Amino acid sequence: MSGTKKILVVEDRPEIRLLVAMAIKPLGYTLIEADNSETGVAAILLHRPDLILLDVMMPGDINGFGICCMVKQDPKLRGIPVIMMTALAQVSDIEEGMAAGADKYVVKPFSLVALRRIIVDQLVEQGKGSENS
Amino acid sequence: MKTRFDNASLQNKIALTMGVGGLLVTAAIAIAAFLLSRQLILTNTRSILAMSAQQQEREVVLRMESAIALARSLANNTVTANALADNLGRMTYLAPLLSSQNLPFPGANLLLTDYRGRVVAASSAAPIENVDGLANLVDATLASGSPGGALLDTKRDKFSKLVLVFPVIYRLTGQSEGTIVLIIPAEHLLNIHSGKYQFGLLDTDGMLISGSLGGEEAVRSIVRIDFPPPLSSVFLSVSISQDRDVALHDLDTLFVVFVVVGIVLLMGVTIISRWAARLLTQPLSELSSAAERISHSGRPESIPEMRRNDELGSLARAFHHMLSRLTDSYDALERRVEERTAALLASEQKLASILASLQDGIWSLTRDGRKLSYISPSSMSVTGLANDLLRNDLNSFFAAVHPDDRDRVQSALRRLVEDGDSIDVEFRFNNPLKGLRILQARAHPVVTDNGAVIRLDGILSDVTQRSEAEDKLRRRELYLRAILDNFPFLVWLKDSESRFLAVNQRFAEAAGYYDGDKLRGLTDFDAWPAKLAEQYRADDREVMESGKEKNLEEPIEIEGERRWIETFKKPVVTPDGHILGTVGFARDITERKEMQYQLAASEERWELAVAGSNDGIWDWDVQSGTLYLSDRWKEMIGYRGDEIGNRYEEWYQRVHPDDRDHVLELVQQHLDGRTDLYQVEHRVRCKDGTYRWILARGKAIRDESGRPTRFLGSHSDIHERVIAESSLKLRTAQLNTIFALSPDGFVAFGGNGAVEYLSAAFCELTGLDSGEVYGLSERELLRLLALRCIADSRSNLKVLELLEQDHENVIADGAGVRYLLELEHPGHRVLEIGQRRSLEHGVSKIFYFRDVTYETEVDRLKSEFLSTAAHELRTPMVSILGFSELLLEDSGFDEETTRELITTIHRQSTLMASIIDELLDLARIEARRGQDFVMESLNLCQLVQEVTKSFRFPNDSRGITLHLEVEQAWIEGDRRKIMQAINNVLTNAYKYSPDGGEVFLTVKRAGDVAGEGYAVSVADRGVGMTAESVARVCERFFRADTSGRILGTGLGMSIVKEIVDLHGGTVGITSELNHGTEVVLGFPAHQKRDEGMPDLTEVGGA
Repeated sequence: MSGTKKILVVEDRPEIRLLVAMAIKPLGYTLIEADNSETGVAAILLHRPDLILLDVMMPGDINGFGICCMVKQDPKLRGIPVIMMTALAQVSDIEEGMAAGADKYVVKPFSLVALRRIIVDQLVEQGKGSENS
Repeated sequence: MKTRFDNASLQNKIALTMGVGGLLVTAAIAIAAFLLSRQLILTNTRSILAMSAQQQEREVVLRMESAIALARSLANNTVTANALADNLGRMTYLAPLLSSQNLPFPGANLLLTDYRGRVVAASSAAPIENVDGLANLVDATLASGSPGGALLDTKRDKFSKLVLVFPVIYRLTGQSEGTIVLIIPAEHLLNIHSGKYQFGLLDTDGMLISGSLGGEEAVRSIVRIDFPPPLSSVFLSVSISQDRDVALHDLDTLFVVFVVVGIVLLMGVTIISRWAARLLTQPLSELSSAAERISHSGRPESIPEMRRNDELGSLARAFHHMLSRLTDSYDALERRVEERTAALLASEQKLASILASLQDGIWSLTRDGRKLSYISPSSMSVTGLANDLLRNDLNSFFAAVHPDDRDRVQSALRRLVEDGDSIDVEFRFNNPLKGLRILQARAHPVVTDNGAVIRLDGILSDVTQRSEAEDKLRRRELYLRAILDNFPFLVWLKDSESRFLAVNQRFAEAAGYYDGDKLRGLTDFDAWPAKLAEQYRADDREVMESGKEKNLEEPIEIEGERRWIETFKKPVVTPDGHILGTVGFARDITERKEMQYQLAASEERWELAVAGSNDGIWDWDVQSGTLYLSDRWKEMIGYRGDEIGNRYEEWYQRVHPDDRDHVLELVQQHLDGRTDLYQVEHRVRCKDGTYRWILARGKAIRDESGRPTRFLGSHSDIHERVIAESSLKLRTAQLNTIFALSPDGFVAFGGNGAVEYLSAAFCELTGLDSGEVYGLSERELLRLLALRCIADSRSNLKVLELLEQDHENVIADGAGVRYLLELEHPGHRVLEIGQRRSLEHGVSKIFYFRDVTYETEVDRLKSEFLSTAAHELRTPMVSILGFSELLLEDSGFDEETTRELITTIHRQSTLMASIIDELLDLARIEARRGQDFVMESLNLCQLVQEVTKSFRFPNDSRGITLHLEVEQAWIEGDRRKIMQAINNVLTNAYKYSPDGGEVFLTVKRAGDVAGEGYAVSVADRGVGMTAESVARVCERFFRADTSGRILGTGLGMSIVKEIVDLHGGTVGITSELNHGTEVVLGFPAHQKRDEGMPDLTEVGGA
């Protein structure tokens, strides 16, 4: 795929969206923002991002786990890496996230360095996967 | 008809059936053949006719063509043309030329005309008929120069003519100089040579021109004739027909022949069938006539054997075989009869010789007893009467009977005849040869196997001498026997060889004989078992040797029963000292013996009971009042034997006072005969003053009138048992109470693995009825519980599975693993289940159930709260950590951005701090549940004023519109807390009306609160909330704002709610999205206003 990679961040808190934006700015990716689950789903279908950063607790009918499930069950979207980004830090929550098919689970608060590394790793991995397929 | 057929012979039946069958079949075939051939002939005739017609048509056409060729050649002949020019000479050769022409049609005429149409010459000498239209035809031909033809009618008759005209053309000029005319009569057109068919010629209209069409019914075929030119315009048809009758003539003849032949054949068939039927039935009739002959004669005879192999042959053979068998057996029967007859004859002869040698007379009477059928020759010496006389007249015999005995004899005879009894009668008889004799007549009826009397046989003996001697002896014997037989003893007399000479009836019966005489000559071995007999023999010997009598008592077994017999034996000695034998008598003394034995035994038992028993014995003489008490009785309650006397009072005073009335009552009841047995458990005072439990049992002995004389019984020491029992009872009662009171449920399984006990709490917890649980196995109980669990809960299923599997691992002392089960019925409940295996006898296992719904719910809420709180704290941390990290990375932000980032960090830190503050607040309030509240009487109006005075919302200059509907609103509460609550609500009002608008604060009377009350209302004109948000606004961390623009912890309203709730108040929220929110805090009124209003005001002010 040519052009810059697109990353979608679905997060209801504006300051966290801002933080993510500033954090990944040096990486040179295009960032798409969605502030609730509905617009998040719409953005996924519309923009086909290369990676999704998903908050869990959001206003709206479905939460982040639901969106993750939806992405991972759609054969066309399945290949997109999904990184759950949440303050829910209990083991059961992480298990639920993994069950929903999330590729990575980032617990808030997170280190920006770690976040960047995870994003890059996932994108590289995804690139490999799509080459193979 | 049917009956006539049924009655006909089999032969006729077969013949008739075959004949009729043949007839029907033949007739059916004949009719079918006739119809078919008729149809075939007609079809065939039609095709023949069609062929003939075509042939005829072709023939006509061929002939016509040759005629036309002839006429044409004549017309083209130069001779003809020249002849027309030669007026003079032409006649000489033209006529012969024309007549010499060989015309294919008989009667045809060939003419030559000149250029004017006048006939110049003709082939026939006969005058030329006047034909209509001929002149016109000739003229037309002359004019056109081409040949013509037509079917024309003659004038003279109705016969049609076929006319052909050919022009004769002169070669040099090309002019028609004349014509050749050929006239053919239509009737000659057809060459009819067959007489079989009718031929006809038809014109275009189907009208007959010549010939005939045949009859109406005729078979017909019509073919159109295709004439060659110039006759192309002439349309004629050939009809050929044949009369149907003619066509079918042969068939009719054939039919007649067929019928004749059929009749002949039928007759033949009938004859053959009769012959066949005879062939079939003849053997049968032979068999039947043979059978008839045999049945008439009753004697089997041979019948001719049939050498055939069919069924009849085998039937005949079987019949033959049967007959030969029958004949054989018949012959055998006859042979046997002959043999028997011979044997009979021989035995009769033997009998006769025996009878002749007898002294006694033998006779036979007929069945009715009126006539002698036989009398032996020896009879004559007995009766002195001639046998012939007796044979003729039996009355002469009776006449000789002594008159005194006659009736007896006759009645005996009657008995013999009528009742069939055997008789034995002695009577006096006047023998004319020997004088008065005593005769004995014995007779019996001779009876066949089926009970019919056939004759009466008898013997007549002269017993005159014997009778006299016997008479005396018999009489004495009778007396003796009567005496002996009536003796209550067994009496016997034996000879020196121990053979019975005489026994009495009793002895005979005891020995198993009914007739004592039968024992005569027998020995003890015949009467008694061998062992006894041997003993008796020894006794006899001893008595005879010693000459002394012997008296002994001995037990013997009679019919499996042990009897005692007392026997006396004595030798019988003649006066000269010779021992003849023994005499003895015996009697049954079993009852006497038994009584002696019982007496001894019972005394023995009593002794044993008293001495050996562990029980104390008492024996109360009711009349005298003495009470015998055994040593053991005394020892039982701690006394030595000599320490207690034999008095009623000794017992009475030692009975426990509490038991005494009851015991005495029972004693009285027994003495009155109301109970069979006296039995009671009571306490008895011991020597040391303590009481022991004993079981007293006794029975009264009564005299004939039923009055008790003695009352005796025993004391058993049951103290240990009673104590153990009562402590067990107590323990059980305690446990039952514990189980019944325990809020935990218990289910105990019995030794058989079924539910044996369950506590009330269990039923309450599970909603199961005790009736449906008792007797269930563990598995069944778990199934029942599974039904009450929340459906589809995997954890529940797992628990039940584990419980079932785990039962092997539950050990008696171990608490085992506890399981949680979530029930849906009868209400949502969480039960903790434990199980315990018991090693106690009778209880295999115990399940206990504990309601931990509340605990689990609290646990759940707690962990949920922790998780939420952690989440809420982590969220601001993201910004703080993230932005500070950004700043540390020093990516060269400009000053404004840097400031913005730091502001965000600060704001999020502030938020976090306030969350922590409020969480602590909330935690404190919840933990203390209002116990740390400083409760006092407060005037809400005053309080509200204080709040407004101190309230400041950052960056907002709006004031509060205060409205006090009441002057004083007294409530009881913690001043600081209530102020905090109002403060929080006011903060929200400002926070959620960021675009301005008034904030109203009202104190009013609240009628809707239960009882009297006051309320503080805070209303704004801000963003408002949806109904869902209103419902959740008091939840912890719930934020109505999701945009992130309005900062907040989500705990403010939770704190408000907690505070108001702890004051017994209510929080009411009404809100409309985009229009504002009103929060009403209601408090119950406080009644102590007159007590110290000024003071309170003062406190409020402090």
